[in-house]
Amino acid sequence: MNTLQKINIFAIVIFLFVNLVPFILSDRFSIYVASRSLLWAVVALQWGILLGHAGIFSFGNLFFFGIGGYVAGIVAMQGYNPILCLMAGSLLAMFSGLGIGRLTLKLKGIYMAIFTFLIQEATRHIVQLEQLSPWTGGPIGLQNIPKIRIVGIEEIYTQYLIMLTLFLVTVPVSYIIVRGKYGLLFRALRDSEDFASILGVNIYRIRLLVFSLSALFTGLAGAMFALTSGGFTDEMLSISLSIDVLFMLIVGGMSTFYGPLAGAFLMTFITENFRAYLIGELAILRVVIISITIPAILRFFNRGLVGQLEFYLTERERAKRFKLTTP
Amino acid sequence: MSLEILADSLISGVALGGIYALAASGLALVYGAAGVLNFAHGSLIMIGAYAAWFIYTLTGSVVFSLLAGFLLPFSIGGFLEKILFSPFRKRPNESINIIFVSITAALLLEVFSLVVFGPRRKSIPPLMAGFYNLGPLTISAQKLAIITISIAMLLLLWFFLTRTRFGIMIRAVSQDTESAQILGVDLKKVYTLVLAIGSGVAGISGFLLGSIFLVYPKMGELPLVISLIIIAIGGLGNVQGTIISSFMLALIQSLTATYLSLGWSLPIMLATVCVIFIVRPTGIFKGRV
Repeated sequence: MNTLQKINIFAIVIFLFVNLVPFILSDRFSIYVASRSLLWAVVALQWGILLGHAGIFSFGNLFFFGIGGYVAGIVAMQGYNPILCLMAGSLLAMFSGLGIGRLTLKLKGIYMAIFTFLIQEATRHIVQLEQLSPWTGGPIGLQNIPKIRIVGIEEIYTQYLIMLTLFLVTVPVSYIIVRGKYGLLFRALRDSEDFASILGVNIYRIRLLVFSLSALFTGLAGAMFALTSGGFTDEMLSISLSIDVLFMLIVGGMSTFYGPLAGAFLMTFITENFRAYLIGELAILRVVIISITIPAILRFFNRGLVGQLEFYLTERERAKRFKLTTP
Repeated sequence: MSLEILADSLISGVALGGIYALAASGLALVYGAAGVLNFAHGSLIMIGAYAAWFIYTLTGSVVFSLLAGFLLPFSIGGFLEKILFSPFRKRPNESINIIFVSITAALLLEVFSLVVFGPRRKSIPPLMAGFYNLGPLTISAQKLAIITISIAMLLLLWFFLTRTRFGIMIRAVSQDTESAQILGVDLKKVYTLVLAIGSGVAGISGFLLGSIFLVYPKMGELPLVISLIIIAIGGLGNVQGTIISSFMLALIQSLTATYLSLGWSLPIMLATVCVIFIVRPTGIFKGRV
């Protein structure tokens, strides 16, 4: 059994653990935490694929989350079918991803970083405009979005089931892409752009593909969030939320496939428990802890949890194969 | 009548352009010479505004508050380079890691000001009261003071960059790092200095912003966004291009505020950037510092 298989099995065990324990405990809070973990895992994974695998410096991936959520919420409030709302949200996110990619992917990475950051900040200001408040709700945000209901199932379980569906749809697709031919191509682009393009990789097309796919899935996550939580505010586009998701990526290790997922599970568990038991000064304390930890992890532990595990396993395998003494 | 409104909005545009030029040229300088896309720039603007507010309410002297608004961000900027950014230089993923770290620095500075000064918005009293009559036009002394201070500061910055030893070192590093290093420029010193100068200039723009609007922990977010737009148009790291494009964008903003409404200014600025990115993908101006 090689390292990759070991890690896959480990990941499946963790996934089952995260999803079964709430049902064994069967209290509403742990089910809520589990569904939030699944949501943030999807968002973090899509961002991690861009930052860690494809080498695209997207700093405003939550823009797609916001677009998905706002569009799905607005369409749902007009009384349309939830499936239609989800499609509208995610497809619009994908098309905006195509547009942003078209504008910036041919430029240096730093332009991408600036432009995506700008788009997210500007959208946050635009949705707060008074003139748009009939649609976006202005500074209050969307309220009373009709929630998806499944007859006979309690609301919290419905929310969980929808998030599970989201996770089970997007993560295997992303896995196939990252481990397959395209994943190889965009990792090649990340490591040496010039060399890859000499070997005949169409840089722009591959980057556009992975960028719009990430936008599609992030938009879908946003749409599902809006339709299950029943509200969507400009808070979902804020820098501090971006920082939270980035923190998940950095803790888990963004250049591995499972890193963002592990980071999202761990950090959502910790933050939701913090939020439940501590109030008031907590927000400040959390920001201080995060702001001090991120530089420390980046400097001294830059592989992240899963990255470190993979590194350890591969080194051990290599040591075994070549009869080296220390891993 | 409508001509007077136009003239008034143009003058507001110039005043705003001076402030933006200070904010964005600091950011452009830092990116051009030190290679840091400093997302803590907005928070440094805010820190400068708070320092200036504190001294201005204490002494009521514009010169002292300008000094305070310059010196506190100056030292914090240098400190950030020493403590936060320098450990990441010459390591893998340098630029992306520095961006992450600067965002955390921004959050930390915001929390710091929230804890020290509280959430209530402070206002810096107008620098000068009264109006001047220029023929049919009436210009408020406040705008005139802002225009004078910002242009004087930009001239000082220009003098520093072209006529002093350290300024020439900064420009040398931004044009060609390796050659500058061979000629004996101490890179660490230059990086620290450039972060400090860029942040200090940002702090002065924060003081001027605070004298028009209000001073509060999140006041730096919008100036950061606008400075990023400006340096993207002005060709990253090019100070002259940055100054020209900041006046351009400020005029666009004040004209939209006069003839449409204030809320539309940011969307229209962003649309301008999109158009410029389509036509000239690397900004209007080329070259460095």
